[in-house]
Amino acid sequence: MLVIVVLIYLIIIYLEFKPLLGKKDKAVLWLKGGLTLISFAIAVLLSLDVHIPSPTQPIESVSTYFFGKQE
Amino acid sequence: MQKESISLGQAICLVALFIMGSSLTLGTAGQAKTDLWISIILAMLMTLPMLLIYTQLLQSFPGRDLFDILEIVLGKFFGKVVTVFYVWFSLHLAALVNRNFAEFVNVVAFPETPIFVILLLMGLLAVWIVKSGIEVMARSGKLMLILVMFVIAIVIGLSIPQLEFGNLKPFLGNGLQPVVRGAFSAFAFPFAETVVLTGAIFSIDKKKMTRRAFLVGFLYAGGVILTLSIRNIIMLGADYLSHTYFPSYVAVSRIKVGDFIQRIEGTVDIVFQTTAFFKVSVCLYVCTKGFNKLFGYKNYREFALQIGLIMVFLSYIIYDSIMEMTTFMFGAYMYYAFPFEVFFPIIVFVVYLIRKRSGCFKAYQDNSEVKE
Repeated sequence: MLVIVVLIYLIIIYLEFKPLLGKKDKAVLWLKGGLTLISFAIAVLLSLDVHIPSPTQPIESVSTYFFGKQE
Repeated sequence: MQKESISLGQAICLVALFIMGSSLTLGTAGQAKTDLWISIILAMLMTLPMLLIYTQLLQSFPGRDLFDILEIVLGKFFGKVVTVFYVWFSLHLAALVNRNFAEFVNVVAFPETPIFVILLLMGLLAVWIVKSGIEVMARSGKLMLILVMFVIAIVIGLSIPQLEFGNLKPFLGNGLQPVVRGAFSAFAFPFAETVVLTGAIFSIDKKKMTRRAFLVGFLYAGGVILTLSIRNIIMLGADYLSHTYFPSYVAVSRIKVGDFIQRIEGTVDIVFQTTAFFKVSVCLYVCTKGFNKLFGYKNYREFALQIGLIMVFLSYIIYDSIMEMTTFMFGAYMYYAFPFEVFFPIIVFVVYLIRKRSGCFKAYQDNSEVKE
C-alpha cells in the first residue's frame, strides 16, 4: 500500500512540478510543495493504518460549550 | 488572465444545484416530523434576508468575489483572518458533502467497496472541473439541471398512486419547538450554505443580475426540496421517515406501477450524484480561490489538485460511521455553521454601511465599473 502511495505521489510531483521549474516565481513552488507535503503525509499515515483525529469531535464540543447540550 | 463570466441562466442553475446538493440525499429538518414542510417554509423565509445581504454586498462591488470584498471592507489583516475561516468552511463543506454521498453509495449500492475509492473518484472529478474553470462548471450545470429535473418530475409523477395524505396529520402535534428546531436546521443546511456560492458567482455578464440569480435559484431549489420532502412524508409517514438515513431513496424504492415499473430507485442515484458533484466542485472552487487570495496569487487552477486531495483525505477521516455523520449533520452542524452563514456576513455588511458613509469605497466601485 505504501509503495502505491509513493508511486502515485511521484507521478503527481512529476506532472505538477515540471512546468513550474523553468519559471522564476518561487512562491508558487513553495506553496505547492507545502500542500503536496501535507497531503502526502496524510496519505502515508492512512496507508499505515494510523488513526488520524477527526475535526468533528472538537467542533461538537466547542458548539456544546457555547450553545449547551444538543439532542 | 482572461476574466471569466457566466450568464444569468447558468448562474441560476448553479445556485439551484448547489442548494439541492446533499440535502436531497439526506433530507432536511427531520426533527419536525409531520410538520417538516412548515419548517422548510420557515427556513426559506429566514434565508431570504441573508440572501439579500449577500447579494447586496456582491452588487456593491461588481466583478469582485467574497474574498475581495472581505479584504476591501474589513481591511488587509482582518480580511485575511476571515478569509482563513471561509477557506476552512468551504473545504470542510466539500468534505462533508463528499462523505454524505459516499456513505449513501456505500450503504445502498456498493457495501463491499472501500469508501475511500468512492471519495477519491468524486474528488478527482471535482478537481478536473475546477481546473476547467467556473465557465465549464456553469455550462455543464445548465445541462445537468435539465436531467435532474426530468428525473425528479418522472419520479414524482409515478409516486402519485402511493400517496397517503393521512400521513400529514397531526398538524403541529408536538408543538412549535420541534418545528423551530427543524427550521433552524434546514436554514443551516442547506439554504444558508449559499454564502459559499458568493465566492463563485460574482461576475455575471449582465450587471446587477447577481441578486436575481441568487433569488431565482434559491426559490427553485427550495421549491424542489419542499416538494420532495412533502412527497417523502406523505409516502412514508413520519415514524418511518425518522428511522431511515436516505428518505428520498426509500420513498422511490416503494414506487410500483402495475407489475412492470418497480424498483426504480436507481434513477434517483443520478439526481444525488449530479447535485452532490456540483456542490463538491463549487466548494472546492471557492476553497482554491480563497487559498490563492490568501497568498496573493492569481491563477487558482494551480493548486486545485493539491487542495482536492486534502479534501478527499479530510472527508475520509472526518467520520467513523454513518451514525456519527447524521448526528453531526442534524445536531452540532447548525451551530457550527451559524457564524459563517450569519455572523460574519452581517458584520461585513454593517462595517460596509458604516465605512460607505465616509466614501471609502468610491474608488473600488468606480474602477470596477470601468473594468467591466
